[in-house]
Amino acid sequence: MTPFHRRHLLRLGALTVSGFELAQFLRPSNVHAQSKVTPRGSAKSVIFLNLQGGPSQMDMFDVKMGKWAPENRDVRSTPQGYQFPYGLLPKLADRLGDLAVVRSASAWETVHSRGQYYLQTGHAVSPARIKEAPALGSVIAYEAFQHRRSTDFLPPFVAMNYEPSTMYGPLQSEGCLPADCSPLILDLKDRNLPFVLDAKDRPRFDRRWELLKKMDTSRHALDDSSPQGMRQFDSFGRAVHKMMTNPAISTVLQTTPEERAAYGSTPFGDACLIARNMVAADGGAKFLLVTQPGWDHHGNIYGKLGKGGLYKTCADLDAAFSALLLDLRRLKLLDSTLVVCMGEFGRTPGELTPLAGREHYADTMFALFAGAGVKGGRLYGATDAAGAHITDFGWSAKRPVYPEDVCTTIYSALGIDWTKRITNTPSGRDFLYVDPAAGTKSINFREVAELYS
Amino acid sequence: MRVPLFSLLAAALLAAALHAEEPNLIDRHIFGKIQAGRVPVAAPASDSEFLRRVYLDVTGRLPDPAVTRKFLADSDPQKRTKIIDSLFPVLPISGMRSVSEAPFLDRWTYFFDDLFRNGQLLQEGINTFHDHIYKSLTLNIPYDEFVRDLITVNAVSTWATGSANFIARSHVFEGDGYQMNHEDTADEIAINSTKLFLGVNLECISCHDGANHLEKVNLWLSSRKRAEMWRQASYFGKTFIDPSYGRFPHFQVRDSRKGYDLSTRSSLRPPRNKKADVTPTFLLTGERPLPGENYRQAYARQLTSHPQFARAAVNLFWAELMGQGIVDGPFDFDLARQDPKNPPPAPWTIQPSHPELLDELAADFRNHGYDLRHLFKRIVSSRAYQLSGKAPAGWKSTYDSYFARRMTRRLSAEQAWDAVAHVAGHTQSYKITYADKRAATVMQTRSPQDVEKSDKPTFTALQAFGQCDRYAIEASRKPTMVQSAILMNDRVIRERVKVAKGSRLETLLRADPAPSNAAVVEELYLTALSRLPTREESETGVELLREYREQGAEDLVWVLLNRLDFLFY
Repeated sequence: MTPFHRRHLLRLGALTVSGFELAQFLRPSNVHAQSKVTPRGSAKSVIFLNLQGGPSQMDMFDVKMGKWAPENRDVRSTPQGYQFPYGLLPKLADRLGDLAVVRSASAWETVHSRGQYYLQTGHAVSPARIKEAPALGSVIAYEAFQHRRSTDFLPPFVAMNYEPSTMYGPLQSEGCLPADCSPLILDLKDRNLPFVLDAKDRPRFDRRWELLKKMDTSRHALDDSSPQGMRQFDSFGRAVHKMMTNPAISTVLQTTPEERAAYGSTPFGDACLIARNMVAADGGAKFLLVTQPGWDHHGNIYGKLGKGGLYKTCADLDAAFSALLLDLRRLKLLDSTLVVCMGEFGRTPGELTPLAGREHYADTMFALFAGAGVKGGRLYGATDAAGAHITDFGWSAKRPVYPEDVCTTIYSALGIDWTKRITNTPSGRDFLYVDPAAGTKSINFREVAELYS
Repeated sequence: MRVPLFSLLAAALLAAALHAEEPNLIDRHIFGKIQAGRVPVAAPASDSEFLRRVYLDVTGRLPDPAVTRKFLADSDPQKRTKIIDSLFPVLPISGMRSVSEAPFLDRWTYFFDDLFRNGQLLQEGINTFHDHIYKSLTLNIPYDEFVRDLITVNAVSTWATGSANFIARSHVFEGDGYQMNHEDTADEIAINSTKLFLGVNLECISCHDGANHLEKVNLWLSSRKRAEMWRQASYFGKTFIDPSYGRFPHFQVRDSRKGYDLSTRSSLRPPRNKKADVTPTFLLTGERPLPGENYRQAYARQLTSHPQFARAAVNLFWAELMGQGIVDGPFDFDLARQDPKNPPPAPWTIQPSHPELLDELAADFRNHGYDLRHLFKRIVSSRAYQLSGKAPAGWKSTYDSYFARRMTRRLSAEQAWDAVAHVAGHTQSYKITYADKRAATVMQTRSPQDVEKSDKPTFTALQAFGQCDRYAIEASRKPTMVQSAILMNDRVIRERVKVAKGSRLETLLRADPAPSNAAVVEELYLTALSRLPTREESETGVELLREYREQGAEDLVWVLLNRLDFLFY
């Protein structure tokens, strides 16, 4: 034994290399289930809205009053019977009937990059394992490949608008899983997506593709002994071609000004719109990670009535998220799509800092769920008057809802056995889909089943 | 009895290695092990394959078609040696103007810029650091001297003293973002310097002891303690690194503090145990500074005189040139698994694929005065480097660590997009931030921001192709779907393949007298793939150009840029 199972890795890749677009192929038996659980299987796909930076829970879904609070948040009671900031989130106020609001969520981290890592992988940062631990979306992709249909033309894991940076860290990817489990990365700030072919360019593109097929002798020469990267690139090339030339792709990736306006005409709105399209196309996209940056309001959070940072991010979220929920319901897709919305942590409650902002805070935060059988209009958990501590967990586990519980809930909704583990990792340590070891404690993480009952 | 062909080939290559005028120590070990393991070995690389490879590896660029044509036609048996020599710029002679065109210097300066994460937080320091590296390479400063300078330099401003940016780059601010956390900073310098210069990653033991964490990861580190990392960091405990003159963030680097203080609060790691000896102690030997010796001077001396320093260096550059280290993962050395005469307990195995080669190559590097050019030439001159990437019959992926064929890789982001521009004949021009200069290739830029500010579409493409951002993102040669889509249909590619003003196609097609279609096809193959087209390729190409010459030529360029063997080498 050597601690680095390079050979296993290579074999793992070799088996899957042509699998991307072929759908039927064998997976190595390196994934083992631990115990008998019955995943719910109520969702065909998941849209995860990642509020990067850490949204202010006491201004939004766990609204608190204080002399620091601006009047124009317009806090009123909803038909569901809880206080809500109509001034900040007016459109979402109309969609609360679809939303399950968890006020008893907690994060493990208060550093952005570590918190984002947690959110995207459901695991604690471990320097020894950071290269091999796959993202939640990659594990979902890995599972999805086993049920891939020949008509599927979209990759199972799509990540939109995540901007890697020193502060937030890189977008988490496939780790030790095969490269085809990596996310398709789309940046909607640049709307010239290379995946979209203009109709006028199509004949020439087709001619070039045929020429490439005919003339690329280096592709013709590929066989099992060819370098893995070349085979992978060839496989991706065919997958991209399949995607680009699918008649549905233009309806998925091309958006009209009217549609965009309904979602707020922002990069985040565009991404939500494309997430909707991907779900509607039923083309094999399973996990759509949509990131909205800008929630790190250390200063000038409120500004002068409607000018502060929070108002802008809330307005963008309000337009896009409400339109997404409305469309999913209208298109009868909400029952088969789980929508999750949360940040990597919350913000410090009470008085503002000298910079008129709020710092990072782990103990309390919100997590929102909708669709796939989740009962909307509900409220789970409660915090004290300041929003500093959880006073009621609101679910049977009698502890906060942690990122691991959110992952478990997502796995379960997609019909994935969350007790599985990957045994042939490079480090030799098993990768558990849901790892009970969180920090120094061992916790029995579970699905938030109460969302459905 | 039939002798398998592959063992004959390995034996012949081994014999050649042993009987060459200067026996090549690399080939002796590589082909010795191949023969002993009865592993099939690839054929020698063709002249084209070799030329494209050595250009990309040593200079980061594709050869010009004229160079390729001349090289392929040259019948001199020494032509590979000659071409290798031509890639290394001559040393500047006193009083003479230095060579203006030195792709070798650009490529390796970029390599060190990435390695040292010479990025945006340093602001104007990016340029002084870059220039320091560039000049050190120009003068061929011995690698050990180069590293000692990075460790020991004092500076009143990193914007004036380039090499001080290495230490300054590891600075850690308090959570408030204004005050420097000196102990955290010392930890980071210790971690970075041991990682880059010894190949040993102390990240894990910077938070906790190795025991109960690293038993299955790294045998040597599993018995190291967190306090040993502190004692390593303690060499920088007196070092004062601070944004100076209130002009954030140019730094001063001086030894004016009292020393490493365990009572301070860490903003990155679990609280430090307050009861530990933190006398500076070199982790590999237990040596301490001599009485009265400056701590950083002591560390630089101990670091660069330790055999692991040269071993880590040759392994790092070997990995960069050969595609995989002798120890795979240049910063993942397990020091308890290096010596075949003192093997680790089962189930551990010796870590290097070729431990004797690693030691001898390190000794050779030391004996040649830590001369990087000597090391690079040594590697690319070997027959092992010059094997074909095509697998011989009976190949298994487990043979990779034998280096019995070239490890084919995707071009790096910078190589790829300079290559696209080269084929297109596209004039690149990137404004150097904080300087009144422009770069003509991506490889000449100081940091990714130079491209971002001058040419957003190319910057987007570079990001998609795994460019290192010198912060959160490491350089990657992993293929992705987006890369494939960009090469097929991004506007950058659609523009680059056009017969546009100043493009290679325009120059070619509108030359007077007009070249034949066959000559155009030949020139494009030479430019993109460093080889002549086969007869069939030439005929297909000519056919393509016959009806609509310009459109056909554009389509041919598109095909060449989308070939797998354009993007891989």
